[in-house]
Amino acid sequence: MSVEEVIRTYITREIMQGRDDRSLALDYPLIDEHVLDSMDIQRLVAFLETQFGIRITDDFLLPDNFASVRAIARMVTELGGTA
Amino acid sequence: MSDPFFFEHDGTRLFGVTAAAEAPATGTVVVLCHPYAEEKQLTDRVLVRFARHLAAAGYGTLRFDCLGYGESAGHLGDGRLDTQVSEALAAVAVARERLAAARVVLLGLRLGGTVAALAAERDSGVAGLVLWSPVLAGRTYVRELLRKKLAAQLALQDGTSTREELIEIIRREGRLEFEGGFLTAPMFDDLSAIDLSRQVTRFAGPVQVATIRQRSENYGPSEMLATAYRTAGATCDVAIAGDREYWDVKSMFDGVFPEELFAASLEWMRGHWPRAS
Repeated sequence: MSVEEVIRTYITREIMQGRDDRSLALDYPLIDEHVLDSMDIQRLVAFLETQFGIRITDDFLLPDNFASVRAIARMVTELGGTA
Repeated sequence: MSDPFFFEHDGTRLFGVTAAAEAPATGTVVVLCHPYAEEKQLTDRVLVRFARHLAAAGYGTLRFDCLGYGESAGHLGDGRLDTQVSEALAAVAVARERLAAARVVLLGLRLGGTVAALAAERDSGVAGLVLWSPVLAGRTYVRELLRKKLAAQLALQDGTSTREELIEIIRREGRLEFEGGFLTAPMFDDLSAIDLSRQVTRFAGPVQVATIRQRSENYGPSEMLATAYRTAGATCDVAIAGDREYWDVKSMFDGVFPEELFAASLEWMRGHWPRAS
């Protein structure tokens, strides 16, 4: 699975509670549409760090980095994470 | 049978709930110290449930709300770490009186564990300590708190402050809106200064330090605290129980309780203060 697919699957299964992951478009606005609340973000960050072996510092907790699955994947890749 | 009541401490009306031990009783009462801010709300049922387990096992209990929490007077921003420590000591005195306790054990969760440990340093009459994932290092803890604030800011699209800017707000305005209350500059400094392994120097009774299983299997900080207690003359056991943070929102909504931890602490309690035969 690609980085984007891993992230999409996690968000769909763990945060959106099982909705068909194909329905979550890569550019769907996760923040604007309130898919992610503050606890979800903390859990997602912990997942990304473990899954991809990266360290997401506080400096990366910015809207642009969590705006969509694609944006999160871009951040993960920039931090050296690979699928 | 739970018995809610209020007690006065330092001019503040605090709320407490006692529960008598089911017979045969152990003569031991456990005073439960709650965590800080939102974690307090998220773990109310954890402490209620364990108090019931304790009562069934022959231990009286007293749960109480610190200044600014639950039914107690004041606001979250009114309290400081030392306030909570003195309130825990007041609760110990109330427990002795109301439940005619032969001995009182302090149990605390997260910051409540730190509060319990600091209270026991001041009251040589505390018989034992049960510390569930206590806050050991203040700098790590405030980093976690600020990260929560950053995550909330991000989710709510409520600003783009950095961690350094949040600290600057605390310094400049004396407080930061935090989880429905205020994290004040004095409390921020109190929390930042926690270094529990260095602050434990006197308590010499039995201690259980419990932590959840870590993927890294690094239990160094808990072991350091245990070493500090042993150096002070205490017996200290480290219990590793459960693998999930039971003080977060998901655990609360999922109705997750740390039953493995409950069993470990109950067994430890029975080993030290058994029922009369």
